[in-house]
Amino acid sequence: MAIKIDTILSSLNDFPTLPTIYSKLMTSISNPRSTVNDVAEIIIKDQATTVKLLKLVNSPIFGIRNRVNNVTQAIFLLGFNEVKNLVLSLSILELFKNADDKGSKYTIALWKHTIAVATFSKILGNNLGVKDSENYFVSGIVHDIGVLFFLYKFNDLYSSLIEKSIEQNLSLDDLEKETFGMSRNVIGGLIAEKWKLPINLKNVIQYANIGIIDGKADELISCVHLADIIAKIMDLHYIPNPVVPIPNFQIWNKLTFDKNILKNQYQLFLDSFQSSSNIIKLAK
Amino acid sequence: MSKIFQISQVEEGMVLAEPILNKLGQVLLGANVTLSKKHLNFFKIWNIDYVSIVSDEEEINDIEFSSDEYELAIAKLARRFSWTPRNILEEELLEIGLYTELDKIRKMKEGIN
Repeated sequence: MAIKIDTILSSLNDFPTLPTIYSKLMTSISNPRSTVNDVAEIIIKDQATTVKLLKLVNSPIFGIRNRVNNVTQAIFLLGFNEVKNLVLSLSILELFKNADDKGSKYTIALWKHTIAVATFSKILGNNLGVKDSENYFVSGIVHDIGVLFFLYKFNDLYSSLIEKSIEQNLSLDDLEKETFGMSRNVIGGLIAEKWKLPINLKNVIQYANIGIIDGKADELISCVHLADIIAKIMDLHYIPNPVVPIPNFQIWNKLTFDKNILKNQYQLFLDSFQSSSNIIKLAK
Repeated sequence: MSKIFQISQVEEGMVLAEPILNKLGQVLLGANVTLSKKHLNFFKIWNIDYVSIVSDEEEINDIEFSSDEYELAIAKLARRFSWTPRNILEEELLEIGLYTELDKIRKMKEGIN
Protein backbone atom coordinates (compact mmCIF):
# COMPACT_ATOMS: atom_id res chain seq x y z
CA MET A 1 0.00 0.00 0.00
CA ALA A 2 1.52 3.37 -1.01
CA ILE A 3 0.60 6.69 0.58
CA LYS A 4 0.43 9.79 -1.61
CA ILE A 5 3.02 12.49 -1.03
CA ASP A 6 0.21 15.06 -0.50
CA THR A 7 -1.12 12.96 2.36
CA ILE A 8 2.32 12.81 3.95
CA LEU A 9 2.84 16.54 3.65
CA SER A 10 -0.58 17.37 5.08
CA SER A 11 0.09 14.92 7.94
CA LEU A 12 3.21 16.90 8.64
CA ASN A 13 0.99 19.86 9.48
CA ASP A 14 -0.72 17.74 12.15
CA PHE A 15 2.56 16.62 13.69
CA PRO A 16 3.01 18.40 17.03
CA THR A 17 5.04 21.58 17.24
CA LEU A 18 7.66 21.94 19.94
CA PRO A 19 6.40 23.25 23.28
CA THR A 20 6.39 27.03 23.63
CA ILE A 21 9.14 26.85 26.27
CA TYR A 22 11.63 26.02 23.50
CA SER A 23 10.65 28.87 21.17
CA LYS A 24 10.68 31.31 24.11
CA LEU A 25 14.18 30.10 25.01
CA MET A 26 15.34 30.50 21.40
CA THR A 27 14.03 34.08 21.34
CA SER A 28 15.53 34.95 24.70
CA ILE A 29 18.95 33.42 24.00
CA SER A 30 19.25 35.16 20.64
CA ASN A 31 18.71 38.52 22.38
CA PRO A 32 22.17 39.77 23.44
CA ARG A 33 20.60 41.66 26.34
CA SER A 34 19.12 38.54 27.94
CA THR A 35 20.56 37.66 31.32
CA VAL A 36 20.91 34.30 33.02
CA ASN A 37 17.89 35.20 35.16
CA ASP A 38 15.78 36.00 32.08
CA VAL A 39 16.53 32.57 30.61
CA ALA A 40 16.10 30.79 33.95
CA GLU A 41 12.66 32.42 34.45
CA ILE A 42 11.38 30.84 31.24
CA ILE A 43 12.42 27.35 32.29
CA ILE A 44 11.30 27.65 35.91
CA LYS A 45 7.71 28.39 34.78
CA ASP A 46 7.57 24.81 33.43
CA GLN A 47 7.94 22.74 36.57
CA ALA A 48 8.03 19.35 34.87
CA THR A 49 10.86 20.46 32.56
CA THR A 50 12.74 22.03 35.47
CA VAL A 51 12.66 18.81 37.50
CA LYS A 52 13.80 16.63 34.59
CA LEU A 53 16.47 19.13 33.53
CA LEU A 54 18.04 19.18 36.99
CA LYS A 55 17.92 15.36 37.26
CA LEU A 56 19.61 15.07 33.88
CA VAL A 57 22.28 17.67 34.63
CA ASN A 58 23.09 15.94 37.94
CA SER A 59 23.38 12.49 36.34
CA PRO A 60 26.88 10.99 35.94
CA ILE A 61 26.77 11.25 32.17
CA PHE A 62 26.87 15.04 32.34
CA GLY A 63 30.04 15.01 34.35
CA ILE A 64 29.38 17.93 36.68
CA ARG A 65 31.23 17.33 39.94
CA ASN A 66 29.17 19.45 42.31
CA ARG A 67 25.43 19.09 42.70
CA VAL A 68 23.38 21.57 40.63
CA ASN A 69 20.45 22.74 42.73
CA ASN A 70 18.65 25.16 40.48
CA VAL A 71 18.25 26.25 36.88
CA THR A 72 20.39 29.37 37.29
CA GLN A 73 23.35 27.24 38.42
CA ALA A 74 22.79 24.88 35.48
CA ILE A 75 22.94 27.82 33.07
CA PHE A 76 26.13 29.17 34.70
CA LEU A 77 27.85 25.78 34.51
CA LEU A 78 26.69 24.62 31.09
CA GLY A 79 25.92 27.83 29.23
CA PHE A 80 22.81 29.08 27.43
CA ASN A 81 23.14 26.87 24.37
CA GLU A 82 23.73 23.66 26.27
CA VAL A 83 20.74 24.24 28.55
CA LYS A 84 18.64 25.09 25.49
CA ASN A 85 19.77 21.81 23.89
CA LEU A 86 18.77 19.86 26.99
CA VAL A 87 15.33 21.52 27.05
CA LEU A 88 14.96 20.64 23.35
CA SER A 89 15.89 17.02 24.14
CA LEU A 90 13.31 16.81 26.92
CA SER A 91 10.66 18.47 24.73
CA ILE A 92 11.16 15.96 21.91
CA LEU A 93 11.12 13.03 24.32
CA GLU A 94 7.69 14.27 25.51
CA LEU A 95 6.40 13.58 21.99
CA PHE A 96 7.06 9.88 22.49
CA LYS A 97 4.24 9.86 25.02
CA ASN A 98 1.84 11.14 22.36
CA ALA A 99 2.94 8.40 19.96
CA ASP A 100 2.71 5.81 22.74
CA ASP A 101 -0.88 6.87 23.43
CA LYS A 102 -1.76 5.76 19.90
CA GLY A 103 -0.88 2.21 20.91
CA SER A 104 2.29 1.68 18.93
CA LYS A 105 4.26 -1.20 20.39
CA TYR A 106 7.40 0.08 18.69
CA THR A 107 7.30 3.50 20.36
CA ILE A 108 8.91 2.30 23.57
CA ALA A 109 11.58 0.48 21.59
CA LEU A 110 12.22 3.63 19.52
CA TRP A 111 12.43 5.69 22.72
CA LYS A 112 15.06 3.31 24.16
CA HIS A 113 17.01 3.43 20.90
CA THR A 114 16.86 7.24 20.89
CA ILE A 115 18.15 7.47 24.47
CA ALA A 116 20.92 4.99 23.63
CA VAL A 117 22.10 6.92 20.57
CA ALA A 118 21.95 10.24 22.47
CA THR A 119 23.95 8.80 25.40
CA PHE A 120 26.52 7.06 23.20
CA SER A 121 26.94 10.15 20.96
CA LYS A 122 27.77 12.18 24.07
CA ILE A 123 30.29 9.60 25.31
CA LEU A 124 31.95 9.47 21.87
CA GLY A 125 32.03 13.28 21.77
CA ASN A 126 33.65 13.31 25.24
CA ASN A 127 36.24 10.82 23.93
CA LEU A 128 37.14 13.35 21.23
CA GLY A 129 37.36 16.13 23.81
CA VAL A 130 34.56 18.25 22.31
CA LYS A 131 33.43 21.19 24.46
CA ASP A 132 29.77 21.06 23.46
CA SER A 133 28.90 17.44 24.21
CA GLU A 134 25.30 18.41 25.05
CA ASN A 135 24.98 19.17 21.32
CA TYR A 136 25.97 15.54 20.73
CA PHE A 137 23.28 14.38 23.15
CA VAL A 138 20.48 16.32 21.45
CA SER A 139 21.75 15.17 18.04
CA GLY A 140 21.16 11.60 19.14
CA ILE A 141 17.68 12.55 20.38
CA VAL A 142 16.63 13.98 16.99
CA HIS A 143 18.39 11.51 14.67
CA ASP A 144 15.34 9.24 14.10
CA ILE A 145 12.61 11.90 14.38
CA GLY A 146 11.30 10.70 11.02
CA VAL A 147 10.53 7.27 12.51
CA LEU A 148 8.59 8.92 15.35
CA PHE A 149 6.56 10.78 12.72
CA PHE A 150 5.69 7.53 10.88
CA LEU A 151 4.68 5.84 14.15
CA TYR A 152 2.66 8.86 15.22
CA LYS A 153 0.72 9.40 11.97
CA PHE A 154 0.73 5.96 10.31
CA ASN A 155 0.99 3.70 13.33
CA ASP A 156 -0.53 0.47 11.93
CA LEU A 157 1.01 0.79 8.49
CA TYR A 158 4.52 1.57 9.75
CA SER A 159 4.35 -1.18 12.37
CA SER A 160 3.49 -3.61 9.57
CA LEU A 161 6.51 -2.37 7.59
CA ILE A 162 8.78 -3.03 10.58
CA GLU A 163 7.34 -6.53 10.87
CA LYS A 164 7.73 -7.14 7.14
CA SER A 165 11.39 -6.03 7.28
CA ILE A 166 12.01 -8.50 10.15
CA GLU A 167 10.15 -11.46 8.61
CA GLN A 168 11.44 -11.07 5.08
CA ASN A 169 14.85 -9.58 5.92
CA LEU A 170 14.13 -6.46 3.88
CA SER A 171 15.60 -2.99 4.27
CA LEU A 172 13.22 -0.80 6.29
CA ASP A 173 14.63 2.20 4.44
CA ASP A 174 13.54 0.71 1.09
CA LEU A 175 10.09 -0.15 2.45
CA GLU A 176 9.67 3.46 3.65
CA LYS A 177 10.52 4.78 0.19
CA GLU A 178 8.15 2.32 -1.52
CA THR A 179 5.28 3.09 0.85
CA PHE A 180 5.67 6.78 1.63
CA GLY A 181 7.73 7.97 -1.31
CA MET A 182 10.42 9.08 1.11
CA SER A 183 12.57 7.69 3.89
CA ARG A 184 12.74 8.78 7.52
CA ASN A 185 15.68 11.07 6.75
CA VAL A 186 13.74 13.13 4.24
CA ILE A 187 10.62 13.45 6.40
CA GLY A 188 12.88 14.15 9.38
CA GLY A 189 14.49 16.99 7.43
CA LEU A 190 11.05 18.47 6.77
CA ILE A 191 10.24 18.26 10.48
CA ALA A 192 13.52 20.01 11.28
CA GLU A 193 12.46 22.84 8.98
CA LYS A 194 8.97 22.99 10.49
CA TRP A 195 10.51 23.23 13.96
CA LYS A 196 13.22 25.66 12.79
CA LEU A 197 15.94 23.50 14.25
CA PRO A 198 19.58 24.62 13.86
CA ILE A 199 21.25 23.49 10.65
CA ASN A 200 23.62 21.10 12.44
CA LEU A 201 20.66 19.13 13.85
CA LYS A 202 18.93 19.07 10.45
CA ASN A 203 22.14 17.70 8.95
CA VAL A 204 22.30 14.95 11.59
CA ILE A 205 18.71 13.95 10.81
CA GLN A 206 19.40 13.84 7.09
CA TYR A 207 22.90 12.38 6.99
CA ALA A 208 23.75 10.43 10.17
CA ASN A 209 22.56 7.18 8.57
CA ILE A 210 25.10 7.49 5.73
CA GLY A 211 27.76 9.06 7.95
CA ILE A 212 28.99 11.81 5.62
CA ILE A 213 27.70 15.11 4.27
CA ASP A 214 28.58 16.42 0.79
CA GLY A 215 30.98 13.51 0.41
CA LYS A 216 33.00 14.46 3.49
CA ALA A 217 33.18 13.32 7.10
CA ASP A 218 31.89 15.62 9.84
CA GLU A 219 32.73 15.12 13.51
CA LEU A 220 29.17 15.39 14.84
CA ILE A 221 27.55 13.32 12.08
CA SER A 222 30.29 10.69 12.41
CA CYS A 223 29.68 10.38 16.17
CA VAL A 224 25.92 9.95 15.74
CA HIS A 225 26.50 7.49 12.87
CA LEU A 226 28.79 5.38 15.07
CA ALA A 227 26.52 5.74 18.13
CA ASP A 228 23.61 4.42 16.05
CA ILE A 229 25.71 1.43 14.98
CA ILE A 230 26.82 0.74 18.57
CA ALA A 231 23.17 0.89 19.71
CA LYS A 232 22.29 -1.70 17.04
CA ILE A 233 25.24 -3.89 18.07
CA MET A 234 24.03 -3.73 21.69
CA ASP A 235 20.49 -4.62 20.57
CA LEU A 236 19.08 -1.25 21.66
CA HIS A 237 16.93 -0.80 18.57
CA TYR A 238 13.23 -0.99 17.62
CA ILE A 239 14.01 -4.02 15.46
CA PRO A 240 15.05 -6.95 17.69
CA ASN A 241 18.50 -8.48 16.95
CA PRO A 242 19.10 -5.93 14.20
CA VAL A 243 21.56 -6.52 11.38
CA VAL A 244 24.57 -4.27 11.98
CA PRO A 245 25.39 -2.01 9.02
CA ILE A 246 29.02 -1.44 8.06
CA PRO A 247 30.23 1.99 9.20
CA ASN A 248 31.04 4.53 6.53
CA PHE A 249 34.84 4.24 6.41
CA GLN A 250 35.30 8.00 6.21
CA ILE A 251 34.11 8.46 9.80
CA TRP A 252 37.46 7.09 11.00
CA ASN A 253 39.16 10.19 9.56
CA LYS A 254 37.34 12.16 12.24
CA LEU A 255 36.92 9.56 15.00
CA THR A 256 40.59 9.01 15.82
CA PHE A 257 40.03 7.16 19.07
CA ASP A 258 42.81 5.51 21.05
CA LYS A 259 43.10 1.76 20.71
CA ASN A 260 40.83 -0.26 23.05
CA ILE A 261 38.74 2.75 24.11
CA LEU A 262 35.59 1.54 22.36
CA LYS A 263 35.60 -2.02 23.68
CA ASN A 264 36.72 -0.93 27.16
CA GLN A 265 33.72 1.37 27.36
CA TYR A 266 31.16 -1.41 26.84
CA GLN A 267 30.14 -1.31 30.52
CA LEU A 268 30.16 2.50 30.49
CA PHE A 269 27.83 2.47 27.47
CA LEU A 270 25.49 0.08 29.31
CA ASP A 271 25.59 1.90 32.65
CA SER A 272 25.13 5.34 31.07
CA PHE A 273 22.19 4.14 28.97
CA GLN A 274 20.57 2.70 32.10
CA SER A 275 21.16 5.93 34.00
CA SER A 276 19.74 8.14 31.21
CA SER A 277 16.66 5.96 30.69
CA ASN A 278 15.91 5.91 34.42
CA ILE A 279 15.97 9.69 34.52
CA ILE A 280 14.00 10.29 31.33
CA LYS A 281 11.25 7.76 31.89
CA LEU A 282 8.50 7.35 29.33
CA ALA A 283 6.02 7.97 32.14
CA LYS A 284 2.43 9.01 31.57
CA MET B 1 39.16 -6.44 38.01
CA SER B 2 38.77 -2.90 36.75
CA LYS B 3 36.09 -0.57 35.50
CA ILE B 4 36.20 2.59 33.41
CA PHE B 5 34.89 5.66 35.22
CA GLN B 6 34.19 9.14 33.94
CA ILE B 7 36.20 11.66 35.94
CA SER B 8 33.05 13.14 37.51
CA GLN B 9 32.31 9.76 39.10
CA VAL B 10 35.80 9.25 40.57
CA GLU B 11 36.12 9.72 44.33
CA GLU B 12 38.95 9.95 46.85
CA GLY B 13 40.02 6.53 48.03
CA MET B 14 39.48 4.78 44.68
CA VAL B 15 42.53 2.94 43.35
CA LEU B 16 43.88 3.36 39.82
CA ALA B 17 43.88 0.07 37.92
CA GLU B 18 46.02 1.35 35.04
CA PRO B 19 48.60 4.14 34.84
CA ILE B 20 47.64 7.50 33.38
CA LEU B 21 49.84 8.40 30.45
CA ASN B 22 50.35 11.64 28.60
CA LYS B 23 50.31 11.89 24.78
CA LEU B 24 54.00 10.89 24.70
CA GLY B 25 53.32 7.74 26.67
CA GLN B 26 55.03 9.07 29.81
CA VAL B 27 53.51 8.01 33.12
CA LEU B 28 51.74 10.87 34.90
CA LEU B 29 50.36 8.67 37.65
CA GLY B 30 51.11 4.99 38.19
CA ALA B 31 48.77 2.05 38.65
CA ASN B 32 47.66 1.06 42.17
CA VAL B 33 47.80 4.65 43.45
CA THR B 34 45.04 5.46 45.94
CA LEU B 35 43.49 8.68 44.69
CA SER B 36 43.48 11.77 46.86
CA LYS B 37 41.81 15.16 46.36
CA LYS B 38 45.11 16.42 44.96
CA HIS B 39 45.05 13.70 42.27
CA LEU B 40 41.47 14.58 41.31
CA ASN B 41 42.54 18.20 40.83
CA PHE B 42 45.45 17.05 38.63
CA PHE B 43 42.98 15.18 36.39
CA LYS B 44 41.27 18.50 35.66
CA ILE B 45 44.59 20.16 34.84
CA TRP B 46 45.67 17.27 32.61
CA ASN B 47 42.23 17.23 30.87
CA ILE B 48 41.69 13.58 31.75
CA ASP B 49 38.13 12.41 30.98
CA TYR B 50 38.19 8.71 31.90
CA VAL B 51 40.29 6.48 34.17
CA SER B 52 40.44 2.78 34.93
CA ILE B 53 39.69 2.04 38.59
CA VAL B 54 40.11 -1.19 40.55
CA SER B 55 36.65 -2.62 41.02
CA ASP B 56 35.02 -5.63 42.68
CA GLU B 57 32.16 -5.55 40.21
CA GLU B 58 32.17 -8.30 37.67
CA GLU B 59 32.16 -7.02 34.12
CA ILE B 60 31.30 -9.12 31.11
CA ASN B 61 34.94 -9.66 30.15
CA ASP B 62 35.72 -10.94 33.67
CA ILE B 63 33.10 -13.68 33.59
CA GLU B 64 34.08 -17.16 32.43
CA PHE B 65 31.95 -18.80 29.79
CA SER B 66 32.16 -22.35 28.46
CA SER B 67 33.39 -22.96 24.92
CA ASP B 68 29.81 -23.96 23.93
CA GLU B 69 28.55 -20.62 25.19
CA TYR B 70 31.26 -18.78 23.26
CA GLU B 71 30.38 -20.69 20.11
CA LEU B 72 26.70 -19.88 20.57
CA ALA B 73 27.49 -16.17 21.07
CA ILE B 74 29.73 -16.12 17.99
CA ALA B 75 27.07 -17.89 15.89
CA LYS B 76 24.41 -15.36 16.95
CA LEU B 77 26.79 -12.51 16.25
CA ALA B 78 27.64 -13.87 12.80
CA ARG B 79 23.95 -13.66 11.85
CA ARG B 80 23.97 -9.93 12.52
CA PHE B 81 27.41 -9.00 11.15
CA SER B 82 27.80 -9.61 7.43
CA TRP B 83 30.98 -7.52 7.03
CA THR B 84 34.64 -7.96 7.94
CA PRO B 85 36.37 -5.35 10.13
CA ARG B 86 38.74 -3.10 8.18
CA ASN B 87 40.67 -1.61 11.08
CA ILE B 88 41.29 -2.04 14.82
CA LEU B 89 38.32 0.14 15.83
CA GLU B 90 35.93 -1.95 13.72
CA GLU B 91 37.38 -5.07 15.37
CA GLU B 92 36.46 -3.48 18.70
CA LEU B 93 32.88 -3.04 17.46
CA LEU B 94 32.83 -6.78 16.85
CA GLU B 95 34.05 -7.35 20.41
CA ILE B 96 31.24 -5.15 21.74
CA GLY B 97 28.89 -7.38 19.78
CA LEU B 98 30.43 -10.47 21.39
CA TYR B 99 30.07 -8.95 24.88
CA THR B 100 26.41 -8.19 24.06
CA GLU B 101 25.65 -11.79 23.03
CA LEU B 102 27.55 -13.20 26.03
CA ASP B 103 25.60 -10.84 28.30
CA LYS B 104 22.34 -12.20 26.87
CA ILE B 105 23.52 -15.76 27.55
CA ARG B 106 24.48 -14.83 31.11
CA LYS B 107 21.07 -13.21 31.72
CA MET B 108 19.26 -16.28 30.34
CA LYS B 109 21.25 -18.49 32.71
CA GLU B 110 20.40 -16.22 35.64
CA GLY B 111 16.78 -15.86 34.59
CA ILE B 112 17.09 -12.09 34.13
CA ASN B 113 15.01 -10.33 31.42
